[in-house]
Amino acid sequence: MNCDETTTRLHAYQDGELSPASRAAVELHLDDCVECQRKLERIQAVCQMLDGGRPAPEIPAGFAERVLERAAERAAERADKPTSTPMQPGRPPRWTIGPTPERARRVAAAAMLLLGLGLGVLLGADVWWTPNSSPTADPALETPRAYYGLDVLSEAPEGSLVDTYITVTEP
Amino acid sequence: MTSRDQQSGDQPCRDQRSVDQQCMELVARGDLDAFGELVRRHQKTAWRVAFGILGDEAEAEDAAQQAFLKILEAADRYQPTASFRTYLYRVVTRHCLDRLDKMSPLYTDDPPIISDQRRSPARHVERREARDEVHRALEKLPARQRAAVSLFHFEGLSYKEIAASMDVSSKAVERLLARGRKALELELTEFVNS
Repeated sequence: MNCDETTTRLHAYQDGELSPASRAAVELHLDDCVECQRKLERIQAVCQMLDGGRPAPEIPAGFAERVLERAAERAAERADKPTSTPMQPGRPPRWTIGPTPERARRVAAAAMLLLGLGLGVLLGADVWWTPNSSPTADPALETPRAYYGLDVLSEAPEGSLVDTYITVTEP
Repeated sequence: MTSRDQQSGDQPCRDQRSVDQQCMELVARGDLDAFGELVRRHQKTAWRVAFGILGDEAEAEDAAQQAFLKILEAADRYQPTASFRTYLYRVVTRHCLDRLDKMSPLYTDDPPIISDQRRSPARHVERREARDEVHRALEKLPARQRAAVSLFHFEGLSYKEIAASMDVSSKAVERLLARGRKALELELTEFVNS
């Protein structure tokens, strides 16, 4: 471990937050490096000052009472609102488990979707389940090109010059 | 006794956790008396943490009160995965940091560290105790560095606990502490060298 690596770990080393292996590596370097030893000493000096404590004043008198007062005020405010869940001593909060307008709208939308899917399945079921059924009764419409009216893509579309030629020349 | 000292897992500690957990269960059912019990048991911790981060008595009281009210309102969602004390640290710390984020631009993460040149070292020693100097130097730290320093040195939390309280990684806590102490070293040069 070199000086840079050691320096980045010195705070964690001082705080006892290094793994045993990392700690050993830092200590090995510290044994031979005066500069890093000085850095550690400065960290320790700052920590010593901080561990002396911050002069935090005493908690203000009546703190807990004021918190409870505010809690009671909030509970009262909630109780005034019709959709709120009031907190009262010894009484469980009210919960809204039943359908709300938003929830009702979502349920209705889901029901409509399911109904549509069901109707689709019912109407298409006989076609789906009849093994030899054909969607077209007319043999002339058996090819997809004819069925979907794509005659224009054929070699001799109806009414074209080619079609007329074939009609005239064929016996 | 700091949190690091309390990690030995002694019986009183477990009893305290159990009482806190029972109180939270009652609070979740709307029992304000149980909430009052929790407030009385932990008010000093909340106050100390808030003051450590905010450095102002009036702000600290309001922040600590707000933190307790947040705990009350979220009681039904409380999951006892850690001790209530850890949860309290988390709520108070985050509330204080959010508060500082919304306050004046003086509380940025990288303000310049400016030494007060008007005071001579001799007058330092005469007029102020070392602890007062620590207090003054801490107030100049960026909020997150001050929070990390405060939670480590005054509350005795581990890196992991501080990370959970501040919603950062343990590595980030290490960096915040390193930067904070470096800045404090510059501020407290006279005392550190002596």
